Amino acid sequence: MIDYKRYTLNNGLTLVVHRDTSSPIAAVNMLYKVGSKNESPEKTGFAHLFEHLMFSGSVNAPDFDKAIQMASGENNAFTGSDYTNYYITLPKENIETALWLESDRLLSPNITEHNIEVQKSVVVEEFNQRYLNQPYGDIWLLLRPLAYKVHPYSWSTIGKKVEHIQNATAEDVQAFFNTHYTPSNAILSIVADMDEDEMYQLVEKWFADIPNRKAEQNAIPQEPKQLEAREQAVYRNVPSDAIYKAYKMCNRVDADYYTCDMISDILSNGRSARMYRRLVQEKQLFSNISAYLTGELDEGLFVIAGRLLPAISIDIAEQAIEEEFRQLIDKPVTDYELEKVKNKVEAAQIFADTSVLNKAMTLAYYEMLGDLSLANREIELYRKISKDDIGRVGANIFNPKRCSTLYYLSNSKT
Amino acid sequence: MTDRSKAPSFNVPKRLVFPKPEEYELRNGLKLTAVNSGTSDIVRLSLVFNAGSRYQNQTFVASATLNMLSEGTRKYDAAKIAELLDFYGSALEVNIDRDFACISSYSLNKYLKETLEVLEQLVKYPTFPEEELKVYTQKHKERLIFERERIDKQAVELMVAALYGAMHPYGSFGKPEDYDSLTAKQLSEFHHSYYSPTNAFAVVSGKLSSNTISLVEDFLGSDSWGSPVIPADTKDFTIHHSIEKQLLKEMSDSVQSAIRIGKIMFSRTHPDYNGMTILNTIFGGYFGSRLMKNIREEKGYAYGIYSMLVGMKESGYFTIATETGIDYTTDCINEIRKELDILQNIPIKEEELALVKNYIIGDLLRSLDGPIALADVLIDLKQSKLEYTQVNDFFNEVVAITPNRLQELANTYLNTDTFTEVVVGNK
Repeated sequence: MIDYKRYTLNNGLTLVVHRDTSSPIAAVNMLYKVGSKNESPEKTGFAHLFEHLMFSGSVNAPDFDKAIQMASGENNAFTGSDYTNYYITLPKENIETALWLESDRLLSPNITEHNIEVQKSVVVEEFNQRYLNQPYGDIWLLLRPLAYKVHPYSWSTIGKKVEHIQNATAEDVQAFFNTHYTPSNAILSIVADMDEDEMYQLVEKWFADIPNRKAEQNAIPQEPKQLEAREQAVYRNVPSDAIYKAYKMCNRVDADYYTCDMISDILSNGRSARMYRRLVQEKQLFSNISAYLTGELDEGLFVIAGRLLPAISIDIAEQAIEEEFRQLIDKPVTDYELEKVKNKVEAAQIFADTSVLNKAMTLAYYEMLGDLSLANREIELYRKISKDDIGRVGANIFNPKRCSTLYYLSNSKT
Repeated sequence: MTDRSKAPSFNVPKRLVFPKPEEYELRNGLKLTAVNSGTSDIVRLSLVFNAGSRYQNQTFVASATLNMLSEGTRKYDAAKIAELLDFYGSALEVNIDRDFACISSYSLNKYLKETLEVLEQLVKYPTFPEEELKVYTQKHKERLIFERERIDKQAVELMVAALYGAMHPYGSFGKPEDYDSLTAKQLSEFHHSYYSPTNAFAVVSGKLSSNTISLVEDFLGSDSWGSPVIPADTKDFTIHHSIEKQLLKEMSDSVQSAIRIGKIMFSRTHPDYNGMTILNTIFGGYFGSRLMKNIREEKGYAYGIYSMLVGMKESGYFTIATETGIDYTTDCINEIRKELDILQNIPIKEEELALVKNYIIGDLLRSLDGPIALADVLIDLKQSKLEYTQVNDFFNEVVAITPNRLQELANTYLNTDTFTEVVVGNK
């Protein structure tokens, strides 16, 4: 249970705070409601490149990292399709250092030609290291455009191609900042052993005088309903075949979202999960297989990802996956199995709440979703899911006409 | 208006709070360290055996033994073990390195007893069923084939083998086909020899109650199991360092090169270990390090670059690791050499040293935050037979260390000519 308080500053910044008495560490988390979905299709990879530039210092704090480290802190960030998240942990006495730095880079980051050139190069190397020069590294660069034809989820946060990053200009970067980095487009969350109103006062002190700029965001083009099965086969220099099946599912705030998540748990969370037991251990078709949700705000994907054992044909492997769907839809899950996955969700939640940083991220995330109370109500929502829900939602998701399949085949096998 | 031009004042913690661990010796001789910490109703129990890969007579026996503990026991088969643990929301974790094999359970307090009942089966009575072993070897063989495609993995293997010699217990690496000859009998024998209460220690952490210790004792600390005698260690630890100081494995279609530069250093208990940990932090041990500033933030040659000090029981090594665009390979190596020279020739400025000290202290504070992190720290110390007070000794050493001392360490240990350079990719 996270007891939180929520505040809104006059400039539109939302603040969520929670007092945690168990830790000497404070977590300060800043979420901007901008991600790769806000990029133009001709200039992809921008949200992520900009995240890198946010560490280049700001008008009053020329060296961001140095100031954090001097105050015994640590920081990092990540960019997704829907949002960009920056976080700092440091001794709670030094919380103002974090607020000074976060507010100053929201006010005016150092976007210089030199910084842009260096970070473009760093991001290109990241692209190379994680996506191009890595076995199976380009799977999502292929799968996203297969699954999405209109929605910007059709490209990865790293961008469609290296050239988009190389072509970024200072004007592009400045325009991106002006449009998306404004107080009313941000959510700040703090978890620390400190009085909640005191945290609010400190945030007022550092953020209240930052003027709100009107964020002019373009509407996100929505994906039309997928009506046909899509397939793509590629050959790569990898040791074994892989199969990815991505089914369109509901959006993040849909009532069925938690049921989808529970289905993915039934299929693949833990060693006793169905796909691990049957497809890895018993039938010995895959060296590993997992089911998960992309969990994005708009209509997301329910993904089955499997890597095949040698000598197993991809058709047999695919049929075995589909057989699991049939089992799930046709035969009701047992009370025991349902209870098991619910227990697992609950335990995972309790473990996650041992970290101040996790809690801060959770609060900012649910505030972005628009219902902060979910941070504490999710367990209840999982608990309510019935056997019928599993069958009904399963039948809905696992429709071949809403599936995009990527056959990622090994050159060495042919 | 708030004056933004001045950084707010800050404090650096003046001391660390390490909740005092309690030490127990259970009836069967198992040593247990318990630390009460945190507000969540959870317990972590870790058992650490002197059963790392150095003790095996055939490749992968040690790791397969550890990983196969949950694949069948006298009382439960693999499926049942998985069902029980998942039902209680408990998680198992296994880790193995050259010296140690560790198995940990994470559970809610309310299911500790049920979790320990399963853990007891795994640790004392594994059966290593043939069918499960077949699946295990198949899966792991595939995984290794995949791992060996990665340039970073290839570079690590080349470097470590060059430092110690490919036959050394710390320098050898298994090949995918080595999995084919693993037998259940080998695992069973390895388990019998090395998994015993007197060849191990345990750490329990979390929100401990009055009966936590007795529960652990009931399931793991009462009767004895395994061999009462640990086999004599006859392995040859003589180092056969490669004469070749620069190794290149060409990968024509790679867009990046993996660079590993390393040298043999010393074990975790060496008197200079703490000092070198601080020097390593300055050089390449954190995001603000000199290597990161130079190679990533100034030149954009790489997404990241790190150096680290690896301490094992009998030895240890120091290594620098990065993946860089192939066109930057040579420049990147030259810059690394230049940074090594600077450490030796120019004393670190007070300002930079102050920053690193503050950063390390913050890092220490984070490493002691919560029961899960605390157990990691205790395990690391116990493995080297160090007391928990060593954390405070390190803290004091961080506060006291001088630029002269660091330069002295750099001159003793970081002479450029003593390093072996490995590149997998293109120069």
